[in-house]
Amino acid sequence: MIGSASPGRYVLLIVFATLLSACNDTFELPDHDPQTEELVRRYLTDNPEFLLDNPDLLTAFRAAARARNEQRDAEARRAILDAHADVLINPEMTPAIGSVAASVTIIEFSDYQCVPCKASYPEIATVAAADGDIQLIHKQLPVYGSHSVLAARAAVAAHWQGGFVAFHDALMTNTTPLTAEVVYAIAGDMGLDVDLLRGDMRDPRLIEYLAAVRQLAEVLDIDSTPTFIIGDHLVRGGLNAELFQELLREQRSTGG
Amino acid sequence: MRHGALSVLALCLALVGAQPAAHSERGAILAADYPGLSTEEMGHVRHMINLANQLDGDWSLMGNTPGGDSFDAYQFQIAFATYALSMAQYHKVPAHRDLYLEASSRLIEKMMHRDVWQYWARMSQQEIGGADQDGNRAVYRDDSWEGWIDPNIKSNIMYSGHLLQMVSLHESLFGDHRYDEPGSLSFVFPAIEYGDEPLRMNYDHERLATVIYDQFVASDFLGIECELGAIYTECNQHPTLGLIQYDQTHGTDYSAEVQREFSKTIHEREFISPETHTTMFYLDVRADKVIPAATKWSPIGMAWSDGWNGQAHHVWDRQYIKDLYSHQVKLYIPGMFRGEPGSDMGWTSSFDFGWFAVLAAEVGDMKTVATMLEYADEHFGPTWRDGGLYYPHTPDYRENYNRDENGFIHNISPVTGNVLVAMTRLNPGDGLWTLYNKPRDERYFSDPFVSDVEYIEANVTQAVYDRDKAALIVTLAPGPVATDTTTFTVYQLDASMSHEIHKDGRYLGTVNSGSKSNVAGVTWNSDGSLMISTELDGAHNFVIAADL
Repeated sequence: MIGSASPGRYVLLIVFATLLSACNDTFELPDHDPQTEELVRRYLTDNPEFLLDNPDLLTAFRAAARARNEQRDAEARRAILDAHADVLINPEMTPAIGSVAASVTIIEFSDYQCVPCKASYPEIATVAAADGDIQLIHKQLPVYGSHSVLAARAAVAAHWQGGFVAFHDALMTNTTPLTAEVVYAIAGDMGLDVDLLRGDMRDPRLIEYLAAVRQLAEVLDIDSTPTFIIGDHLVRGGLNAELFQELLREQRSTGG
Repeated sequence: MRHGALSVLALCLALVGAQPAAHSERGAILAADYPGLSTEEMGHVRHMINLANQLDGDWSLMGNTPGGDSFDAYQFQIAFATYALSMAQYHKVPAHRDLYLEASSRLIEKMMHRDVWQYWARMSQQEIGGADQDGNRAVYRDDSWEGWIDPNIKSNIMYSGHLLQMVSLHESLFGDHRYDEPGSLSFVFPAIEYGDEPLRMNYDHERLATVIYDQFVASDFLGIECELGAIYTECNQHPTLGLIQYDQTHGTDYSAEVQREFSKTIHEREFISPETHTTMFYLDVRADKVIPAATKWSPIGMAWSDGWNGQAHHVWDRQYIKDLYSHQVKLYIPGMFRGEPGSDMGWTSSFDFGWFAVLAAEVGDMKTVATMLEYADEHFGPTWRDGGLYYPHTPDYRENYNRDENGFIHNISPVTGNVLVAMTRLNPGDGLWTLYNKPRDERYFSDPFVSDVEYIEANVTQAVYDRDKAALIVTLAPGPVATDTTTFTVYQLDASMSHEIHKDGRYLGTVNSGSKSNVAGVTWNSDGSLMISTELDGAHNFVIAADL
């Protein structure tokens, strides 16, 4: 009877199992076997230091806990994104590049004065263009002050004129301090109707939309830019091409 | 003809070199006769609002002291920013609410962020009782720390007292009752063990006020512990102020008893030294003895402590604090300004300056205030950023308390640089006293006010409604983003009256709510509000006055 076995007997069983495992690669404990689980649970309850004495087990335990936490966070995030779908994918307000049928959707929260955002931009753009199976949703999250707010409004207004991609590219690659003059000059250079743009930038719908994006970011616990949501992952800070590709591979392998 | 006379007057003023933006008239209405924000004051306001506008969890420019174990902790920066902005709104731009209301709610939201309050679960395990005068703590609690996660329920008045004061100010100033809703102040602590749900502790204004009041009663009005085993007077001032306004807005009567009984404690237990007239360090609850403030750095007293305690205590015992101040100012000023080059001022060097300046302003010692502001502007590196003015904290603010090579104060802490100097400048004298002792009446909330101002491009430096003259005085100045024109909207004008509009001293015309506006740049909205458009090449002043 397992229920009446002494701790010493558990040790023997575990040692036996470990030895079997070491000697024979084909040895396998049954998955979710209630008796085995109870045996292990009771042994570890009585001898918690066993974990401390076996760093490999402790590492595995921590990795499992981390994976579960990440899974839980991802589920919570998905629920938030579902609940905010009106803000997230409203095509009138939200510039997006790539097909909605793409295998991976990436949401980027960025600011046009944020250095890591600008550094990440060409890396991501290059990978995305070569990949061809990515949808990139752009969320303007101005956190660097008044001129960032101005640029974010201008970007959404440019989207209304169908000119987001070129305007976004120009702002992300701009190297001069961002002023109203610079923002409007870039808009003019891109062939946008600047008077219309300036009027649209004061449209209450646009201003409310950006407030809703900020609210969404805070619900998602985003506290800086850039932040990317790549499938189930929330990635804080800048990305280079290598890391971006790795995250894409991981996302595709898990089917997220 | 009134506007004809005004035109003559405007011409006369122009001939003597008057600034049109500062001398707008409508009859006897001169903009310069009304309060407003100076360039520096507006800069301070903008900086604190910029901090409030940072994303939750973004503590940029606020140093790196999340917990409650230093005066630079986020909770103190957030709280004193609220107090400073409240004074600005109340005294300088009372007819401009929405910007300050939004900032206030954001600051309360930040106060609820776990980075700000979760220190208590850890810090509550360590008693300061029995500590020596250098603050070395000897006693550790041994019961479960999980029972101390709630930052309000047991002690920790250095957090909960500020939260109560902030929420009470918000309701009093803006007539916004959102924090009366059950669960509106909700604290979430991460799951203690994997698989557990996060802990959620729900409060609202009433629960917060009563939890704190009950602790006052339970302590027999000795005061509520700030750190475990230690009662400081300054910590207990904030819940007292919070209860004063809670009573004003809810018809309760908690604060009178707290003031009466805590005042007895202060005198009977000698929280203020009768010899030096300075605030004692704290009451050691375990030893039941008041610990003197003297340290090797400040053999007489601590300016920060006197400043912090006094600025708030002044609200409910004005003459007593003014009397103490007259002694304290001689002890600290001008001695703190300059000393032996490189000498160690102690870890409170920046706080001594900041909180004492706040007290000097509150008691109305404007000569000392002017000296201290000049000192800050000369030695603390004033910096403008996105329209905001502040004094960046020194990179080594946590470890270098020595005077600089010329003997001036080197250490600038985030709380001093971000909010305390700002609060000093924004206080017109008796600023907190007036705010608490002359609360707004109900009519205030039905008076005309200015709103819908584009924050990134315009500063409202003046917004006052003169009820006797039925006139709204508004001044707009350029903000960080350059623009040719901007707009603002005036709400709650008396629809039964005609209104004259004057800009920079010039009569523009008269509008009637029932008919289309004939004044260029002035439009009636469908909701009865009046939208005014103006160029923004510099400051422009408007007087919108009922034609009495």
